[in-house]
Amino acid sequence: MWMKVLRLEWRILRRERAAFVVLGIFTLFLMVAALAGGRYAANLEDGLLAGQAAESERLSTLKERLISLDKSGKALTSKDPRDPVWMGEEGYARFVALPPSPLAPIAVGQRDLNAQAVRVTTGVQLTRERETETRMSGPSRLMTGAFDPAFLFVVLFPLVIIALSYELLSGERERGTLAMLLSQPVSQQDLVIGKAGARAALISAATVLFALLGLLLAGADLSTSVAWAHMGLFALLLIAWAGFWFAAAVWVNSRGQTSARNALSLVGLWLVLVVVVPGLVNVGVDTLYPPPSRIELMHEAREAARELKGQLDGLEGRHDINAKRGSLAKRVVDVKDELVSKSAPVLKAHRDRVRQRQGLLETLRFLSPALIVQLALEDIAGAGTNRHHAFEDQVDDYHAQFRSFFRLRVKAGRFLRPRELDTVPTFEFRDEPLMTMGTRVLTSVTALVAAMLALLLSARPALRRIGRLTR
Amino acid sequence: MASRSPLIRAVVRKEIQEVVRDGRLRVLGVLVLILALAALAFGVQQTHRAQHARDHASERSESQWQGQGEKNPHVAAHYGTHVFAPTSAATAIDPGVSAYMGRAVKLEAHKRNLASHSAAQDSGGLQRMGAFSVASVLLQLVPLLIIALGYGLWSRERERGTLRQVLSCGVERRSLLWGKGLALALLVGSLLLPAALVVIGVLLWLGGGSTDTLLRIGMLVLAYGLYFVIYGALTLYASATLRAPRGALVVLVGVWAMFSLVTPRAATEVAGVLAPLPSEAAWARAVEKSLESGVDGTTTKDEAVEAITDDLLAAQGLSDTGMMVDEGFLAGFELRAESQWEDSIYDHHMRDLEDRVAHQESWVGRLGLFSPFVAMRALSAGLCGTDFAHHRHFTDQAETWRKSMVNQLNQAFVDNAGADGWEYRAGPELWKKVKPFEYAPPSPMLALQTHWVSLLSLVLWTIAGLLLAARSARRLEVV
Repeated sequence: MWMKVLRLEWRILRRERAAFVVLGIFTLFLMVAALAGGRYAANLEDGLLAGQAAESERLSTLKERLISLDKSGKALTSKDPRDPVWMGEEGYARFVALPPSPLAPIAVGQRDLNAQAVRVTTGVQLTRERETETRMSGPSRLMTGAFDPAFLFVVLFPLVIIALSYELLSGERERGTLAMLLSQPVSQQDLVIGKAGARAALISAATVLFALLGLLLAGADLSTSVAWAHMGLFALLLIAWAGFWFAAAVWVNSRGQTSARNALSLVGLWLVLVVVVPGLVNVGVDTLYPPPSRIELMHEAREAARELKGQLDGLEGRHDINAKRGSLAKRVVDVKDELVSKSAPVLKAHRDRVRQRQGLLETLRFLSPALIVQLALEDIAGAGTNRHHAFEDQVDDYHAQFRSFFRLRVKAGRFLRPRELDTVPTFEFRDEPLMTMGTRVLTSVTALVAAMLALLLSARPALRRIGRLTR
Repeated sequence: MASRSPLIRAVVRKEIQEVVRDGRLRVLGVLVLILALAALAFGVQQTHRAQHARDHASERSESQWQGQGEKNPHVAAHYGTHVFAPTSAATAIDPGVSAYMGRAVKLEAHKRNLASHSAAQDSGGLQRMGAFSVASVLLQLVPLLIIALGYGLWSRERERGTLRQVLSCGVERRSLLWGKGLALALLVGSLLLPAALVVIGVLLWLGGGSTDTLLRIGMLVLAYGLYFVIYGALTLYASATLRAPRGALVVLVGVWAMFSLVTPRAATEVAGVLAPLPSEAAWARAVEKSLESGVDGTTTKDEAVEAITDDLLAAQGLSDTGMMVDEGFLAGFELRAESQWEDSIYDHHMRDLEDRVAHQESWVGRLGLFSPFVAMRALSAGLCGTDFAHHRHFTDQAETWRKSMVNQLNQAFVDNAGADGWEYRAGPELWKKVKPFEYAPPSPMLALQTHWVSLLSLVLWTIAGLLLAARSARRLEVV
């Protein structure tokens, strides 16, 4: 019976022009958003590639110069590749990047705010030096957020579903066809589930298909099995999200109100879940854990190390002496070491604070399915905060290795040799295991499914009462 | 008109009564009111926190500067100081794009730094999903409230059949339109008035009652008034032209979503394509190249600095005298010349970059012709002093101050170093002579100059909306 309703509904849907217009507009937006997301991802990748290309050219030139200078025995000049001080501070600076994930076009996430590449030197990095070959974004664009598929799915997708489902039963009742339908051997439960199911199947299939098409157009790399695993998670998430909204429509329709009221209630629910609750969650997080200020961080580190910083400026600010040579250079290295160790606790406190905020946010995401979906999409796109924190941690480790490599050479007071360049530590980002990210996304999917089932179950008693529906 | 006024009054009374009797709309109205007040409380708290943080940071910078001990003045210029963007009372109403621009500028010798440490970078997470401020409530939620109150004004009467009855009694359509429009305005107004009074009170309390503040408040109230009239008129239009109430509602919500969700993102993306910005690295490379070989790419740094030094010496009447000058004296002149050269390069590139950002922002404003939301958002941020133009105003002043600070220190080097040269050390009395940075905010006219396109599109939308509402009432289908 259930299948029969589904088939019937499908036949009705095919003749419903409005549904296809709405769906058509949405899929059109989806393609545009995929292209916009793809454009951003490509811009980012181009930037990273440009940075890497510039780096490898610089490094190979330095190596050639070093080889030729190595045997010459000439005195040191400025910007000399044999000089470990200059090489560590500037010459051999490493370009360290967070590589994009396969489904990067799905969400820009926090990538337009967080540094996706960092310049690692022996300098004291109180705040990371962003190394961005990516085009800057104007403040309005940053504030508004990107026109990426994640925005469409989180914000507009529910509105499309509402437009397709607000009159599931109320429309039949208002047209007078509900009584006729119920005279057939079908329960209203089957009827409404069938109608919702047909629409859900249509919109889910269309969306996943067009999202895939959009991703391909946007140049997402779908050649690896990891990419397809991500794609699978993405499809699951979308279907669960669609299911949640259809369940909400079923629940609202089970109340037996007019279509206009249903639309109002569903739009109200959308407003609360997509606009109001995320706003209030931000308020809550900001009030409980105010964002740590990097300005304060800078001051604290500056004060903790005031004397040392003064010494450093005294050494580096004078134009008549060269702080990069001989015993002065060693002194600078010592001062910088002390500076690092003095500012370390301040930095750690700052970082702990940022992570606490993030932890609270991840817990509070269960207050709104829209938050769940947004964070999960960012995760799938590799634009999530977890991945970025992992990147920051790995960069910090690498920075320490890099510093210690050059510190040893400066302290020893000798020139760099060509073969030593091959032993300079290199950076490779280790992505978190697929399982870890997958588990997070699947938890989100489970939460959505649970909410969906709860809505359907609570609609059941009302759906059983025929009188209410045919009134 | 006079003969019609009792009729209009009756229509107004009837519409208002209907809404007041409908419990859900009452709840909706109160909810929006509560949200607006909560947003205000939050905004005030955040502004206080930001103000406190800023004062604290400024004090610390100042005390670090004063307490830097004895050193060569030029070394002190290297040590530098930080200045912080102002937080005005209006930030509590509309934080605008302020969270996405650097709040601190490091001022030091030899270079002009970009403002850094934006609040958005520090807060991470999901700010863009749910910004919560008085402005966001006014921009996003109040229009929905207007739609919810007004979508049935014509269409519900038509559905019930009361429209035919009323018109058959000889009531003019124009009187009905006036009555319905006034009723909607009164309903929304009575819900917003208490909130507006609180907001204005808070603004005056935080910002003082200066003429500028009053002018900004007045323009804000007017602009938001226009914005709400646009939604009211469009609601009346949709309610009159679309047959069923549910159709009117669905279409209006769709239009709202296009205006306030889709267009802003589309407009900023399009503006990014039409007026792209360079990458930070590319910009830095361009600066570096110019520092070596001049903006025109033909002057080398050494030549230029030498020429400027000669000019400076000549201005002091010291050129070609063959006089023996102290090492410190000459070093100070060279430093001044060097910083003049560097300043000219940085000024050129920074102006270029900021012009490009402003160009992108102005494209967003122009695309506001497609959405009153986009236009109003830009105008609101401008009037609250939280847009890019105000940010630029601040960084420009900071730069002027930096130049005078570096110049003062280098001049002190010239005047006092004597034979000591680089060994010369100045003390706290010199650091005290450097006057702390004080920011003088621009007049409210800056907002109008920057956002006149947005204001124009609001006015155009208002006229179009009113014309549509009037036309649809004239051509109203009765059944």
